[in-house]
Amino acid sequence: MSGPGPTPTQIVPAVLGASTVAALPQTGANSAVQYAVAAAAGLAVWAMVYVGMAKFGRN
Amino acid sequence: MEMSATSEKRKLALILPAHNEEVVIGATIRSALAAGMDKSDIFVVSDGSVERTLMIALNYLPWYNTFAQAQGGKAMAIFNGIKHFGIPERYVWVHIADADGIFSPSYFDELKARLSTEYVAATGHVQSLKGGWISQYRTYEYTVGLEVMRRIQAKLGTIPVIPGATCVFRTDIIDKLDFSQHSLTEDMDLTLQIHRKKLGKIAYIPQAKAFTQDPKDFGDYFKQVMRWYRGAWQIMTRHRVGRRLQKIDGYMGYMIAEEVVLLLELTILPVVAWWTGNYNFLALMFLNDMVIFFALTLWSAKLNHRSDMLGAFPLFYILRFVNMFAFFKAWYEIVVQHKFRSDSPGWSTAGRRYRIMTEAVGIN
Repeated sequence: MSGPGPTPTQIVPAVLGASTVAALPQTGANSAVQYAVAAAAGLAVWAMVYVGMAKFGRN
Repeated sequence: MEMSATSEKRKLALILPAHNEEVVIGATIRSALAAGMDKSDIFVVSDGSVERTLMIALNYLPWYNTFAQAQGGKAMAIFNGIKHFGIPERYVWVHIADADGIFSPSYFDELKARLSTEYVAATGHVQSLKGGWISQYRTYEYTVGLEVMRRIQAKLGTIPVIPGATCVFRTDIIDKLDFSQHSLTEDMDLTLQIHRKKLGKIAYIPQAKAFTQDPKDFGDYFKQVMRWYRGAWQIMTRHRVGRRLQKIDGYMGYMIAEEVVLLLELTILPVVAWWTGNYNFLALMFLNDMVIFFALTLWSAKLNHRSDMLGAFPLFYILRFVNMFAFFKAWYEIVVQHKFRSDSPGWSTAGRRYRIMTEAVGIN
């Protein structure tokens, strides 16, 4: 089969991101970068735990 | 169509085109029988198989429901099988399925109850069989791609592909379809022909659920995704998508835009952020994406009773980026380099068949 095709998770966040930046007071904006870095680090740790568990046959 | 002739025909035939499918064909036929098909309505076409594909099929079906041809490709196996068995003269609908397909127990009853002659073709719902992180990601893709997007496509009349796992045609349009194109994705080619030739509407029947095997490792996954996207660009080029004013052109433009936006997010946006020293937009896009992506994953897990897929959530990002890479690599190969234009009767599944875990869907 040829799969379902691209799923709608690219355009919606882009539009949301653009509109949030437009509405956001510049003083509060830097915290978004901190949250994003923390979220990315969290995802990386999560991925390492999953791969580690899979390697030892727990997943 | 001629209603008097229609009333004398049986409702639905099932054709299974097969090339070296001895590992899976028995389970597929058992699944079809358990899902409401009579053995007299199931037909197997072997396309140049050198394994015991037909021998196994004969354990379940009468000999006159099997047919072997020299290797000519999947689409020609379907077409020749339909002609050989006289399907248009005997049936109103013909269902084509992959030889590694598994059907839910009520699959054919649901289809037969809902197939209506106001449509010329129909497709059911596709679900992943249980498996590792690739199957977990595919569960997400199928859930969002079908439960949300396919319903919208069906309403708009823009279903871009009737997937090979669950693919039904009204038999009176068979002669209007060209099966000799040797496309990498013959299912998408046939679907685009329906749109281009304005043959009629395509129904989505979500109550009819079919299960499909996903690649078991990353190498097979990448090969499959490359074939899908090369096939998609091949079909879009062949049918001049974007150069006509049909609804399908608009919808396929949206599909391309989804991948272009992701490419921009990963390439141009970080450069702009670094250049201007303002990372807010990048950060908010990522956070928005993660919240939406996780919410959709959570919903997919709940709907499919697959809580195991949540564990692999961070790895889904890798496969999203791989898909995007494959999409643009395929674009470069097909549109810029004009590759893959020669006829090839090969089968993409050659060497990629695993024994089907039928117990996962209650079929033995």
